[in-house]
Amino acid sequence: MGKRTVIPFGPQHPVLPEPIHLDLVMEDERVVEALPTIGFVHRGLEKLCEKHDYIQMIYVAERICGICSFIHGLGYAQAIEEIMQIEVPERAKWLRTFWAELSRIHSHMLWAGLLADAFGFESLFMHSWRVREAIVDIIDETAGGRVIFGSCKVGGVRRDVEDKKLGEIRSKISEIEKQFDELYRVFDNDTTVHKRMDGVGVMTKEEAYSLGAVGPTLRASGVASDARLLNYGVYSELEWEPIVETAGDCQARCIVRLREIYQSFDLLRQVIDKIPAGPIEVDRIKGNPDGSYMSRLEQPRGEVCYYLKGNGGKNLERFRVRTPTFANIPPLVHMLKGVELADVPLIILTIDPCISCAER
Amino acid sequence: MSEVFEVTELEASKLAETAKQHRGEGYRLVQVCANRLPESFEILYSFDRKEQLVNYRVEVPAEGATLPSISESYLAAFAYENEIKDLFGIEVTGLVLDFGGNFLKTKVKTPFADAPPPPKKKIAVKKVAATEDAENSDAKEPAPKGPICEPAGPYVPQPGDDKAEESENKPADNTEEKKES
Amino acid sequence: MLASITRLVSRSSISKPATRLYPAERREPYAAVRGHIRFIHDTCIFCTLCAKKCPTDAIVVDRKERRWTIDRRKCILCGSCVEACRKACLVCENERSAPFTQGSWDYMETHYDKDAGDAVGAVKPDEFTD
Repeated sequence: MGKRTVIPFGPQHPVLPEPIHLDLVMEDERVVEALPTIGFVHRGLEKLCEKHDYIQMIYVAERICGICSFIHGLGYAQAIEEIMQIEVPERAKWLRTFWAELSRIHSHMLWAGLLADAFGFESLFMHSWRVREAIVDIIDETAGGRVIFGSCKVGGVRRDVEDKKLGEIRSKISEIEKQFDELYRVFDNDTTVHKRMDGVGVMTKEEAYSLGAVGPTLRASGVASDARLLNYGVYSELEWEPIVETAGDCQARCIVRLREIYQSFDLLRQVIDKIPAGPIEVDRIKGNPDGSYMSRLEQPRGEVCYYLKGNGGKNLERFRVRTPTFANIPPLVHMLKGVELADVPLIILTIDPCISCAER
Repeated sequence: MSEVFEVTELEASKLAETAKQHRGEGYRLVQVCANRLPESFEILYSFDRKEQLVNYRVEVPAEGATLPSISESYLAAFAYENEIKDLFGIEVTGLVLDFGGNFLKTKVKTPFADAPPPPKKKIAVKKVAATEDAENSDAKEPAPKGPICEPAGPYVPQPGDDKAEESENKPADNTEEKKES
Repeated sequence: MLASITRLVSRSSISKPATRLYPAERREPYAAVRGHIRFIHDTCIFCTLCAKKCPTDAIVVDRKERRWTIDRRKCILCGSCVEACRKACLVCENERSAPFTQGSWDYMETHYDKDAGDAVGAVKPDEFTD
């Protein structure tokens, strides 16, 4: 039995994109237990539903997080549309999927860069973000902002993308994919990457499922669970399958996300080929939400649940978001048991921590 | 195409055995959501297996609220239940990993625990109001003369400037006026 | 493979940099970019609808004083005011605003009515019932 010490990790750490605090109980160089504390970016956004009415609340929902902002807005809009029984036109649904997949690609590329930076591979970090700039440029051109899209609203989308522009974007995507091929080769084949990430932070299939892991953290342990299988939006008309790896270590979680980037490129091409013409929004929204609904979507980090409850007034009674990073905190605590201190930042990054989502 | 949302009512005393039963059947915990009603707390539990969602609603009174923990069956519930404790002040008994109120650090303890404000009464605006407004505003102040249609530009308040205090107050007054109207 | 990134790195070290020398060199923003809100005071009737729709209360309109102000620090560029205005007085331009200097009031923009002698009350009362 060695001597036990407690090392505080965070809230400021070079590897963390957002502040989270972990008390690491150490025995020599091994972590025995990790105790998380959150609340450094808690803004109480759920209580703002008392102040803003249900149409303006979408701006609050979009600004819960900067990286995964579009799908937050989309989840809110879908939940309100289910409660009020609003029928969204077809073209709006396809445009929403177009932006959702772009959002997924940019988030995964950002994460890939941060992961490379975590184990000191700075040139790979810079090149990942350089490829990501091309994606963010497409978002800027179509939606109006680089990360906060501002294009989703209750009843449709706010702006249209012309078919000619969609054709240009389709050819741009093919070029970006070729640039991304070189990065994928490095993540997959490089010896130093394998030495850092193989066999680190292993989670078996049963552990991952019972601890409530979601998203790539769950899919890298062998469980084929993806919220897009619920067929919201237009995913039932696209050909795709959840991406699963079986190793359950950091390398598997990395490869799942990189393969999802390829899958999103493919989905984007399918969306651009199949998008129908038509209106992009509902004419007029009458009445107030009365009732409750929980909508589930697939964010880049996992499954997000939106629970909205209205009682007939203009303001919602309850607005609750269960974000994927919050659900991945118990698996993180489990994964950190028995690892060496040098591997702790890497394991925290492989669950893709978006702490501003986790404590809205 | 979208999934159906159904909620079953559940007693707080039967919560632990329902959770254990679902654990045996292979369900995973999706979320735990608490809501403050005027006289009570309602807590929504959701479990999922193969994309089928099962929801339960538990209601506890607002005074002296206690809830049994499901963290023996679902270890993942410790995060949700500590969050409920810290934000709403509901006492959760039997937690496997209890942070004692320190899981979510906030400046104000239990920020969501207060009862929601009562719904505002609707005020119907009558047609007379608009013309009255017109007559009054014509009579009170004459129209300002001179070049008015240019933007004010950068304004740096000087220390001995009375007008600085006035203009500083004006935007605040406007906000209050707007909220009343 | 040990140095699999060699090809990528050597190509980027030879070619010209991917970044531009900002602020000396600026990029032309796209047409759809939400940069800042511009107010056209010629056609404004001071109905205060834009102030009602603003989610952050950045726009403050005084009907009696015939004054329209915007606090650019609070504006989140959502475009609700642009959609709400009936007289097309508000336009979303694609140039992003310059950074605000500390201690000055250049984030507050105020406009007065062009000729405030016009009759007010040209708004129907239906707009105010929610």
